[in-house]
Amino acid sequence: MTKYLTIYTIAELICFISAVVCLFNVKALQWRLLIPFLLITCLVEMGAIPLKAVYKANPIPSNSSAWMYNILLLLQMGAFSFMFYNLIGKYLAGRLLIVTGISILILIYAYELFTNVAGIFNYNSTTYSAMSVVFIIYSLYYYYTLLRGEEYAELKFLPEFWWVTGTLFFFFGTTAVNLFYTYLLNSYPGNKLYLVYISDVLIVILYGCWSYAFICKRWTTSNK
Amino acid sequence: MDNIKQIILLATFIFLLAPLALVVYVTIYNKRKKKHIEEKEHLKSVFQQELLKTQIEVQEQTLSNVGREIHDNITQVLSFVKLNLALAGNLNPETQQKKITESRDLIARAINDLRHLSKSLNFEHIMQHGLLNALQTEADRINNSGIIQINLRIDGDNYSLGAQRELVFFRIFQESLNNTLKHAGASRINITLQYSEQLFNLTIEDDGMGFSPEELAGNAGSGLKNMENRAAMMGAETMLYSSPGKGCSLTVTLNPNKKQLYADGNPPNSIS
Repeated sequence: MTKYLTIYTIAELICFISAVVCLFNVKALQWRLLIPFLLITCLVEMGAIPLKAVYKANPIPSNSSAWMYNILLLLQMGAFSFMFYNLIGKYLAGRLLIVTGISILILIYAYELFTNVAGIFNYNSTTYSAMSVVFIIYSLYYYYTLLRGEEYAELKFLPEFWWVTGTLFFFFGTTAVNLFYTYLLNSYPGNKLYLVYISDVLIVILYGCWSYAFICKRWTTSNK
Repeated sequence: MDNIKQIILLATFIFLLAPLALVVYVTIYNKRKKKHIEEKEHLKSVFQQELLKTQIEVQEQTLSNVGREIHDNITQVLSFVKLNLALAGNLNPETQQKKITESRDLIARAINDLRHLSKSLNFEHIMQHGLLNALQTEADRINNSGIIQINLRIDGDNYSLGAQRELVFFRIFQESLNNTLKHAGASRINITLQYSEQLFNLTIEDDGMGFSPEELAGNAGSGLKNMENRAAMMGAETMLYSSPGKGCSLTVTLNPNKKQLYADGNPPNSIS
């Protein structure tokens, strides 16, 4: 049982529980959809743990957990884009950004799926890197609209702000990790440990911000 | 190897620092925005209070003018008519008829004067018909009274400055007219309204005894200061030229395209 409890899974579980408690009665669909999304993320993350052991014993592509993460990648693209659409989609430029971004991601995903040697059993890392860049752009555009808007918002309690902040930190950080990943592992396989630490920090930031965003959402919804 | 590791860790750290800096910037900017909004709200509230005060002053001044007009003009005319009619009973029919005709003319004049006064009393009428109309009505009233001669000149095609701003301009005119009547001993007032795309000018000149603006202090200068402040609140500038023996000229200049956030074209009674 304890093997299922990693920093990743613990952070995800806490965030999932926060989502269930805080978002269950929220009317906005984009927020409620995060509950099943986080549930699937937790299941994928936990399901991948025994598969990693199988792959370690017999490292052939069909034993890897990459196919699970490839499916999760599609869900991430959908859930994040839907949330961002609701945040920045009221502006024409925002809508264009979302449509362009999702189109590019789907194209890269399909291209990778068909060109990978092992197909779905190879992780679509280029799609993930592109997705990070796209979501960083969405986050920056959200900040821009926040600054440009005439009305004042109390950022401390603004759920959208915290959700975007967590997302921005996570994808900014993972972009750096993705950039150096291959280089670090090729130079010395033991370097993977540093990447794991960085990833752990990033995941805690992401789910920490999200959990707080859910609590804020609950506050603001029940205060209305 | 260690160097590479350090560089990579540093790069990752920078990648984390960048969004942090961004979040800090957004937070600071947002706080400034809050301060700006609060200041704007405060200015708006001050402006609305000042506008309400202006509205009350215009009404008070109008009532005072009407009261004086009734006392000095209409009451006199009606007393004369009363006397005429009282005397008519003892006169021969021909003179009697003459007196009656004369009295009828005087009553018609009094009715006409009352009609004009009722227009002045109707504050909504003043502002609905615009600044130009209000100034014209006021100039006619003063000219009819014979106290002083007012010449009204309009350059360019007139346009509305918005009810709030026009109300303030009208009050400035009233205050200036009052000062001239009370202190200047002038025989003539020239009012010029210049309308152009970029500029609106209201100039009020008199040929009175003038004064030295530097010597105005305390209560004597408070009316002028009031005019300056009100003009400034709607984004206009006031210029006063005067010297002893050379009359006085007051010019209020406004760029009609320069929109003050709190002084829009809303009617003055839309305070909410």
